[in-house]
Amino acid sequence: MSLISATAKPEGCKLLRIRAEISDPPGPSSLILAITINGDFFAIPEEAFEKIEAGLEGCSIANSGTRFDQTAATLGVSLAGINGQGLREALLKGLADKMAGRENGQ
Amino acid sequence: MSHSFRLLETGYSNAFYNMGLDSAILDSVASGESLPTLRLYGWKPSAISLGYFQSAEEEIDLSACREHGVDVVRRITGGGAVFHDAEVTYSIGIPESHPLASPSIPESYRILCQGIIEGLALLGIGAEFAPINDIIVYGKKISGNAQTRRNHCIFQHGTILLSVDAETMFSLLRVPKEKSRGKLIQDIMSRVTSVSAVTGRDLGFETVAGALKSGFASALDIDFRTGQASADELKQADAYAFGKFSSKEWTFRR
Repeated sequence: MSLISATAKPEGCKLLRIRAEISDPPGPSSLILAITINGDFFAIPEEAFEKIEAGLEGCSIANSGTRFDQTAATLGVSLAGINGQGLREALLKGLADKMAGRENGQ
Repeated sequence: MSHSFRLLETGYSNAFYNMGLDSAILDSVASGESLPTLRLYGWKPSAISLGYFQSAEEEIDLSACREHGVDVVRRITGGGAVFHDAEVTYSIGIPESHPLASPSIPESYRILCQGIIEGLALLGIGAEFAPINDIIVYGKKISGNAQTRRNHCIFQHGTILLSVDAETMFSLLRVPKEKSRGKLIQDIMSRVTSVSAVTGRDLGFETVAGALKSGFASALDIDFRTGQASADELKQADAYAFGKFSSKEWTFRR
């Protein structure tokens, strides 16, 4: 298990801060074991967002964007300032930082 | 026909009570016990409010806040951390069935922010809406706004900056490690403005709050009935303030 983290402001998103535990070896096909997504974004109803985070567990980083959007749609969560593509981009940034030996890249 | 709203001018309160009263108003408007409501208020002592999805440890220098006597509270709305100091804060609650309510979140921001834009216009400030949730003057942010929806009620609160104390603000907020504080202050001053910076005058809380009231009335065709929070709302506000907003469980939940 590896830990990745990143702070990113992908296109169309507010500031995102992600922390994730991923399966080894670290790479785009690594599975997300646990994830916390913090930031300036909006999700309504707010309480449902933790279910979206939980829904990412077991999903690969590569497929995280699609899973994020699908889960939000299934749960009827309205999002502003965050989307699946942006989340995937932030995770890939965290992964790249991990591979390069940087931590908590901002 | 104009829309009947209640106007609450509740003056200055601490962060926990401010968020408690906002929540109590949301509840009472949602249940139909209160008219749609515009509340105007301020913060004493100064405080930082965190967005619902932010982490206190990631965003705030908690020891600096303690040193400065600045309270920290988590909002029920998303968005970013706000240093509440020299500003007018408003909150507005309307049922989702109200003619001013839009099912679209971006559209409802646009509609409700017209009240602020009109209020600023009355002060001689030409402001415009900047999606998702900001109001800008000459490209610089003067007002940030945050919205939620609960129990079929739209609730939005936001700030209108009277002045900006970037030095204090960035002694309280965590800054990216690669940026110097000086560079960050320079950055923020190039992106944020205030009523005093734009007008060159210190207009004060009452003047700006009065303009906001008129701006909402004019832009959204609202007929305000000046009122007070009900006994139930006050009781509920206290319960929220002490039981939720001042609790570590709520503040540090992410």
